[in-house]
Amino acid sequence: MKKAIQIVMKDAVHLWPRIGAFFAILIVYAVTDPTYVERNRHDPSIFILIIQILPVLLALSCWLVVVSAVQLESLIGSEQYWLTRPFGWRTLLGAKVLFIVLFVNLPVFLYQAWVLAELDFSPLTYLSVLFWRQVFFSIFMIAPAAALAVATKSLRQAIAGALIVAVLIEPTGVWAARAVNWGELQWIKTTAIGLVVLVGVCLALLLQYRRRYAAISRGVLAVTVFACMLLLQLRPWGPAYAIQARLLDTRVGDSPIRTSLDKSRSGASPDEGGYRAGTRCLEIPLRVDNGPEDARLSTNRVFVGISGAMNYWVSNGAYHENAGQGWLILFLPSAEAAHAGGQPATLHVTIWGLGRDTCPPAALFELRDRTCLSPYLPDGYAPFPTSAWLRPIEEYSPRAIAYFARTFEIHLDRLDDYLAQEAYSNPEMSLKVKFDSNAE
Amino acid sequence: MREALHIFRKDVRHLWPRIAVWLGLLTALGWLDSTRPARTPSFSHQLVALVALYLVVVPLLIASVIHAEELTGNRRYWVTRPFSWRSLLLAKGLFLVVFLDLPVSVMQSAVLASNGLNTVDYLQTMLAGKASSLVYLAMGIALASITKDLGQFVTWLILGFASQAIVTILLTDHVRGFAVSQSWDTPFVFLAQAVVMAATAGIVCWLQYSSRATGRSRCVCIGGLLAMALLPFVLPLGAINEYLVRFSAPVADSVARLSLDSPRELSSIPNWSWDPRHRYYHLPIDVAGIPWGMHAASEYVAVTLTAPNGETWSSGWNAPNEIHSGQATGEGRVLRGDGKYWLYMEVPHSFNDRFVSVPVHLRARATFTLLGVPQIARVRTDGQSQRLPGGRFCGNEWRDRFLSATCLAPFRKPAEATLRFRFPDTGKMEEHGSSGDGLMVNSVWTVIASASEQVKGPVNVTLETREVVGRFERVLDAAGVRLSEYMQ
Repeated sequence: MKKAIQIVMKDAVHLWPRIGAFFAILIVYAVTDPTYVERNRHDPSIFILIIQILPVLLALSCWLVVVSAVQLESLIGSEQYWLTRPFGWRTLLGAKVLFIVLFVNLPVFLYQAWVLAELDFSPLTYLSVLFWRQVFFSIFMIAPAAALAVATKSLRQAIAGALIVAVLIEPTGVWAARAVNWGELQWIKTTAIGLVVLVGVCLALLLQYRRRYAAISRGVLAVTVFACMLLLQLRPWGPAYAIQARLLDTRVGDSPIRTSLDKSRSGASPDEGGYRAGTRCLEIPLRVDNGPEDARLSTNRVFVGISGAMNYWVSNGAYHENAGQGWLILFLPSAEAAHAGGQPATLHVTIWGLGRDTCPPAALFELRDRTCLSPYLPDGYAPFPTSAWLRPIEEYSPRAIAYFARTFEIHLDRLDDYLAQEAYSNPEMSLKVKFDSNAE
Repeated sequence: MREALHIFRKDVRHLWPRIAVWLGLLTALGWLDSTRPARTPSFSHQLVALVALYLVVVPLLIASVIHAEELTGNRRYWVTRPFSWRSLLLAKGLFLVVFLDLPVSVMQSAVLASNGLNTVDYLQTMLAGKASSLVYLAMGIALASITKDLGQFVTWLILGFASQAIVTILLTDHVRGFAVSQSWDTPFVFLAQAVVMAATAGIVCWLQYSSRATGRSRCVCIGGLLAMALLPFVLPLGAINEYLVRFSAPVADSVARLSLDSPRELSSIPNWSWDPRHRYYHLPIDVAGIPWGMHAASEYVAVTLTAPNGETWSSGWNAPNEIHSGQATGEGRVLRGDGKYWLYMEVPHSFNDRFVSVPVHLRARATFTLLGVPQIARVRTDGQSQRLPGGRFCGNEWRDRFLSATCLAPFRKPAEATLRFRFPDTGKMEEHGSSGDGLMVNSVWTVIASASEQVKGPVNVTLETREVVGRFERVLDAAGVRLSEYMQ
């Protein structure tokens, strides 16, 4: 331990300008964060520019400290000076971990606690939240930088490695975010990716510090990157939903909530229409009975199979409530909808969860545009915060009080009765939408 | 020159993989930029990612080429070689111009050509942009020359930015007198900063390359960075303001005459200032004589109050005073014809508390920018992009219930741009003013207006642009004003 502390002190002396840069940016970030700092209308444009660039610089300075600290005792090659010094790999690894905890994790923790205290949240009350934030910050911000540092010889190589990883991961992530929307269950995917990153990085660190197997370590990191890319593409909604449902205290099994076609209403939703190029919007009045009071149905995901008129699977649906009346909204391809419009159809619907639409008691309400800001869970459905970013206060999604899944059938005599017109028919200008197909 | 070319060739051989990465990145950026008007021109993730890569690769290339002949310390190999520091500096400058600057110009010309635009038409704007990028390049060389390795270079970049941020934040909250938020002076601030940056870079490069005086060079660098941060707060904006008005195209005296109105209530009082040392007022005023169809944008207002005992307080030009229509947003500064408006001013408590109830003489010198009659173009709403006069492009995109429209122009924005969504069914109209560019490095396109609206029926979208006709000053002179009557 004494040797590890000596190494930490040596590193701190050597890297003080980089640590100073990180601290300076962290302080500036803390006092200007627009999430909780309201700005004056007359703030100069240069000030706004600074606020926009700060997060990038904060990440950059954090990575610089981590990579520099690890590479002070380079792990590539067998001619490194420290191999002849009287300390083992465990001491060195321990020293680097201690250094990062002291000069990266601790300042970030103090910054987060300070922000909470400034906003009248007791940091002690939210200690577990702060802990989880540290965990995910370490996994997604520190661990990748440390892994690149041990697998490369210099900062230049580490940057090149980061660029390669970014080029691989970024398009996959963007594509996955568009193609597979996990919505409120995103935290399950984030946690799974976090676990993969943690295992991959720990393995690479152990291999490098113990044996300096650079090629194998790089291989492990490459596998980790590809595993992350794979995870980003996965769509195991069912298992994720089952995990989420198990985590909640309130269970809604087969009990009383019932969903069915509301035959007392017809036509289309008065307000919540939806338009996408090349699609027709199917708007079905839906009735939800026996839900708990002070709660409303919230869409997690809708899978609808349409049989009869057309055989088609839809997963782009949503449930909206307007003046206490619910609407199931789906988008169908225009051509197929036009072809099947006059025929009967049966919808096989699998539906959702149950959410509470209020801020938690401890939330800061109305700081910005009536957004609910809370230190608790940035993702209202998660049991712990999975955000990797430093900010301790984030927008709060309503927390679910229960989850349930319902599969039911709706029989429509004529699909056309529930189809809104195409979003636009004249390519030059206007948009023609018929809201009430029954009115004509 | 021959020596410089030798060093240049050596650097090219040494750094060709990095040059290749950079050129590849630039090609990808150019391709995305050239297809941007044809696609939905909203901000794409790919573009953001490439710009982020750009911001990493450019400093990396600068540091690589400068650090190839390191300048810190006394034991550098090249000191013993038979070439002068001038040749070395020339070689490095040549490398960065040839491989960093020139390809960007080629890329921009290609983007313009691929969209049917002629580079010659935009040469002036491109050259102005080139001058500023050369200044940044020179600063990059200077920072690289005072650092030993990439780690130090990045640390200096971060510390340089942090110092700017800290000075700006400290002064923003504690100095009354910044005025960078006004529309026309931002280029002046950037110009002044560019001059300081160029001077700093020149001195540092000369010191480092001629005598490797790293300590002194670092001091000069720190001084330059602090000076750049201080500039927005110390620039004589009043003088610039008067200069602009004096040399502007003439505007008739009858345009935008000001007079004090009787006290009336401002329906919603925007919370514009939290400075506890000042009391803020919204004085009701009448504005008359704005030509039909034109707009007058309020710029700076210098207010002078003279008490009965002769004591005078003057805000100076840099105070955040303005004439506005009551809107909380920046668009409130645009006066859209004759009517009743407000003069916003901040008076220090030291003066206000003593003379709030006694009649004072108010004299406000207000400067305006007169914006001409609009050019109106219809924007399509069918998901197809379109070309508008002046090399502008507009695109639109549907996402569920929302119609987004984005309009681009090569390099330069008009003085004012507004996207209007009209809903004939309901008679409703939504307006969206100019929007920011986002993080677009070396892009040909600048976003002139971008907006998104929820659409529930027929919709017509138009783009309205205006250019500056002239700048002018008007004086509001009122005696016997009791400030207490105007407290909101």
